[in-house]
Amino acid sequence: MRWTDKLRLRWRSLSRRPQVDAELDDELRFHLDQQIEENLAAGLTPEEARYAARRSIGGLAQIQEECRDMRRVNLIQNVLQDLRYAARMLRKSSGFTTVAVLSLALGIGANTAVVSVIHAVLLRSLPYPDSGRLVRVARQYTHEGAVVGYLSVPQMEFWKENSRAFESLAGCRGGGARNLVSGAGREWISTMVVTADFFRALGVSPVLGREFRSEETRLGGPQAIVLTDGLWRGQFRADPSVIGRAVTLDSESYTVVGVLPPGFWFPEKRDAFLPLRPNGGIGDTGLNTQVIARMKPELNLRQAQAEMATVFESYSRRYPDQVTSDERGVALIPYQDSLVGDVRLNLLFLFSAVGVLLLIACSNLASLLLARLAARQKEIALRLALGCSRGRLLGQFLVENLLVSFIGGLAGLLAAFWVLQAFVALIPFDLPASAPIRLDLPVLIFTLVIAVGTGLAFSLVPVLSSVRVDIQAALKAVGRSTTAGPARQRARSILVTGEVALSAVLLIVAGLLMQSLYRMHQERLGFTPQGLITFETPFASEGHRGDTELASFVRTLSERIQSLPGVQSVAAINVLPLDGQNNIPVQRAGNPEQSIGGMEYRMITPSYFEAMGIPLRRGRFFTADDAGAAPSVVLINETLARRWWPHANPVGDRVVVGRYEQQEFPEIIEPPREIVGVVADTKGPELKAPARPTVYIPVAQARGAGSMSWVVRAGLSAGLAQQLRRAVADIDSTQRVIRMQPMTEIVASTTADSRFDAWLLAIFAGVALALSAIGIYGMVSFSVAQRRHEIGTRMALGASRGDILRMVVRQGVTLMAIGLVLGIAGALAVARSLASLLYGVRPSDPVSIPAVSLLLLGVGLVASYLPARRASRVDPIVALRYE
Amino acid sequence: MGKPSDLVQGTLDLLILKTISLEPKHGWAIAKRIQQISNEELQVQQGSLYPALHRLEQQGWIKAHWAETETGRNAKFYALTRSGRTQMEKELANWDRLSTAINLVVQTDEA
Repeated sequence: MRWTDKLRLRWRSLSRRPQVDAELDDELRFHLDQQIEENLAAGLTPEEARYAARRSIGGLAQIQEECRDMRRVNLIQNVLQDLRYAARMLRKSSGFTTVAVLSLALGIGANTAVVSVIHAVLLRSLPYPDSGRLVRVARQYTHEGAVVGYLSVPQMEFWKENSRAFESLAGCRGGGARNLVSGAGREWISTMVVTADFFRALGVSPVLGREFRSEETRLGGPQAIVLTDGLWRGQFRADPSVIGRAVTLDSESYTVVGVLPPGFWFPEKRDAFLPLRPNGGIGDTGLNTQVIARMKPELNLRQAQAEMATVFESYSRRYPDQVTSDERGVALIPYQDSLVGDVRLNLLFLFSAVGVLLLIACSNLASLLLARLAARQKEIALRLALGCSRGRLLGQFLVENLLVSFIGGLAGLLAAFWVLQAFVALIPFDLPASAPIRLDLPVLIFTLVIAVGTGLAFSLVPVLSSVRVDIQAALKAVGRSTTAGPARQRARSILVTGEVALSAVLLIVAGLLMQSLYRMHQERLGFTPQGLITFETPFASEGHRGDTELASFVRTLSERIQSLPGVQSVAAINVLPLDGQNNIPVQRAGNPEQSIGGMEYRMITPSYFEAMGIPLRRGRFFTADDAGAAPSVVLINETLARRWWPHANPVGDRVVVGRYEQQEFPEIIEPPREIVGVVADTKGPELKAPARPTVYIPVAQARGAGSMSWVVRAGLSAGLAQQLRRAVADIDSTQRVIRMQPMTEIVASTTADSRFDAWLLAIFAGVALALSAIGIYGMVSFSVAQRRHEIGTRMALGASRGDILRMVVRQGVTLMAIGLVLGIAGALAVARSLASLLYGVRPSDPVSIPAVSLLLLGVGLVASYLPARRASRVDPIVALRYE
Repeated sequence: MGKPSDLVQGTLDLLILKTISLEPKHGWAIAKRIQQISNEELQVQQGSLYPALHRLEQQGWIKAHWAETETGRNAKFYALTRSGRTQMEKELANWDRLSTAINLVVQTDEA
């Protein structure tokens, strides 16, 4: 028979089922009649003949069912029927359905959202051709894992000339905000300066024009600019004739040479690119330039790394004074890894948290399923006794559970859509995603797989155990509620215990993070942020203001602001605490061995310490007279004083800016400065790190300040911001004012990552706690309902209400306690790997664990007390009569 | 008297195919025929016969049609198809090999 005929037969069986069934009926009836006739012929009475024939044939219905099975159509019909039945069951038990779907939606939604982020950030490759060959070239230091991703320009050029591992090697660094004047008007744009083969290294070519030529990256060569698609469409109205046109940047003329493709992406968002033109200045000799290289296709990372080791050796032989004693070589980091950095840990942390949440939701679901199936035990036994196959029952329950998880998955997907938006909006760390973070196909497949996977995994055990009933025992107990089989009871206990353990892990870790957050807030800042408003006045480019011009701008603006009503004090500094770093080499005069390469360097106005509330420890503050030609002075912080003058008074001693060991930096070298005082420590760039050695220079004696930040101590009135802006504009109408914000906000933003992690985990832990409470409550009330008869008997035999109460509560609290012990062990293991997210608190912290234990035991007590009270109110007469 | 379970696994199919290889028969006749030819040694239970018939039909080895019996009643007759005949010959050959082999073993004097 051809397969078409087979198909026809199957289709007939399926589509014309009544007729096929009728035929089967006729066929079997014919057989029965023949048997009866034969029996009659053998001399039996008609009644005997019929009876004997029936008996010899056996169960007609069973034969019919088997014949249908043989026709292979039952499978489809069964599934359809099961689906209808399941939908009806779920509608009827709306409580179960709601809890199940909601908890699944929660678990699946959160997972889908986090996986979308992980997919976009960690898994999707960067939008450059063959992006696996891109590496970040970094400096490797001797202390474990210390890698600095910035090089000096001379070093970059040495790598470029001497290494043979790369197809191309390019550098880039920030080019600051520039004032662009074109035909369409003027606008502030953000720029980046790049070497000639920057775009070639990335594998990107401009859609219009070309990338930079090497003469454009030489001092004195023609000035050129490459536009991004966004800037081209906005400022230049997508005009294709823009190539070759001259535009003005900060009053200098540049020629547009290229426009980048619309999909161009670089982790740092810029409007335009300018050529990097080394001029031997501090910008080039300092460690400021990111270097990205494209490895040759025939090399792998290890080979390239080995090649760079030999290049580094020849570099340190050639320029021994350029290599510090703790520098060990060159690190090549796959470019994507270098972008992801700390975000990876944060994302994986989130992923584990939502994974645990899903596990808890699923155990809750499985435990609910067990309860439901236990309640249907008699139905199951009856159906098995009536000839229903175990496989058929199994199939039916699986269909029912898959339906639940499917609906849960759909709801989860909807939830994920919202959660994802919230995530992306709230995540405080930069997500280096090269494409929009959204729910795309791989993520949808992931959701489908976990929805179906959890449905199967968490229904298989309960369902398998429930169809393996002892029919006789179950049926004998008809009319009396059976005590659930010990196996099932144990399965539920394990699930609930697991749920409690996982919740305990989440709660403890959340507790530790909360404590870290608290410790961070308790950390002494070294200044008083309350009542301070800050803003920044960036200078358009280097050389925009000469040093004297800058000093006079700062002085004039200070006086102007000081005269505003309500202003108590005003000061300026190049970098605010917790807001970044700016460090250069400094040496104790006459002591080359006392050098610090990364000395924090602050240029301030004399009133800075007073405005910030930073106390003086020794000597004096600056005055207005510490300016220009007056003797060069410096203030140092306590950390530096302790390091270089552990037992002596530093006041009167001298330091040299721009000198490291035997090395001098011509760009910044200064005559020695006399220390006039020591001030208290303040936090450096990071809240988590102790104060760094710092020198303070009066701005009136400083050179080359790029930008100043202002702190104004005043009653925070609504009009103040406006008045400050006006004050700046009155002095220089072209001067921009950015980042006007209270100092407290800068402090808060440094703890944003930790706050996000801590609160998110606290929310998860809260949900987990609620789910566990439901789990325990459900478990205990179910077993109370099952043991009504037993409880009635106990009371009839003299057990007091208190005895019953204690017995039931003990059951719930025991589970809680076991789960708790497991959870504490788990949390200790987990917290160790989270050490870098913790601050000032050890995993085995003596506060979190007892607090969480008390909380969980309390919840366990309440969750089992409610059903226990119900149990203790059982009227023994009613309970026994009811049975 | 043989019970269905005494039938060697898979031989019921062969018996059915062989029985209808000469002319189409209905279920009752197939059961009776097997019983007669085997000298009442093999008795096919309805519980196995009809599912087997439906299975063979699904596999395309036999096909069914409704026709009148000698006694004038409507019954479902099963006939061998071409692929059913091939299948029967294959199973016969198998059976021959198997039974010869078993005979060899069980009839050897020293076991």
